[in-house]
Amino acid sequence: MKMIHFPTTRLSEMVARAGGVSRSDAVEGAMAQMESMRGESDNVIEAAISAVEAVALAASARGKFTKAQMLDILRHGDQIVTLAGTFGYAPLDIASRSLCDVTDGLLGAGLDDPAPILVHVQAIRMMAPRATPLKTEEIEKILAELKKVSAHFNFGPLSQTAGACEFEEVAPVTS
Amino acid sequence: MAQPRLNLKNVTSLLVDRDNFTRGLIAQMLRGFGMEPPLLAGSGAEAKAFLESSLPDILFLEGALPDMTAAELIGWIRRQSKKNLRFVPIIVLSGYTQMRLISAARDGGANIVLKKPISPQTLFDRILWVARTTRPFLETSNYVGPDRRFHDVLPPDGQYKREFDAPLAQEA
Repeated sequence: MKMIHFPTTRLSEMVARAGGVSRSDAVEGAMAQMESMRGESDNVIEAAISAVEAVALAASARGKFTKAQMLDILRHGDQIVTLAGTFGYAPLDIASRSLCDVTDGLLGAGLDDPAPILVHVQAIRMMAPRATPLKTEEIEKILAELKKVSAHFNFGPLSQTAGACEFEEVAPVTS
Repeated sequence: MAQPRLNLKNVTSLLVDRDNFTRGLIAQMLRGFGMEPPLLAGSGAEAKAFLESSLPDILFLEGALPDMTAAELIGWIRRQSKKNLRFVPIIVLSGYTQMRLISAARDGGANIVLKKPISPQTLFDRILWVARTTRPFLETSNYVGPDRRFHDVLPPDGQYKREFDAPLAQEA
């Protein structure tokens, strides 16, 4: 049996009330709140990169990654992507997405070669918010090399796995 | 031209995300919009416990929770007997490595799925789109949630994603 409702939610009633703020004021308020968390975010990114490094070091000593280690890298990598994108660390955002793409690709293909992941881990360390800033050409060179790694294995971006549905490409917060 | 003013004061929410810092970040955005500080949960079980005793105006869920997927939690919510809970607007926030779960979240009955990182502009616009857009709510044997087709209402980004969603008038 199919039933169709046209519900009125409390949310829709509440936004229709008089008063409130303009969109630009609301967004400005949110940006200010978020910006106050930048320092803390940098700490979280550092911790996530250190966690990825620890997993990579252990795998490197063993000569291969286990599935659990790769899933760990994906979990920390996801957090780095989110925060790097949110706070406008573009090179780190690209490198950490690439780390996730390669790790997910290796996992899917049943490969455990540590080299493609290790090179990404070194790259994201160099692009960390508190690392010594790199020159633009150095960043471009590193990102180009990471791209070659993905191309070598023919791994596409994880974003292509989503399928067609409603979700958003968004602009980062810039300070 | 003056922008319309929007009132999110006293709007309550439940934010479910496994990561403490991400919860704090999104909570700050919502407070910046003038909403009440959200209730925070780190797992599906915690979220269920909250929803047994309180009814937020909107839910924000991470795509993959430690104990279940967002789709599973939404399925539970959409089949509750309390109508206000069943119809509650739900926004799913998907991490980069959780994208395979996006279709599942949509088909589980989410109102909309957003990809992290999320900017305040996008989050604000999508909350308002969810609040102001009347979408039929379907209950069938295998799906409970807002109509996934966009025949009469444009998706929030104004772009039809599937050819058969576009109204016939546009095809002419």
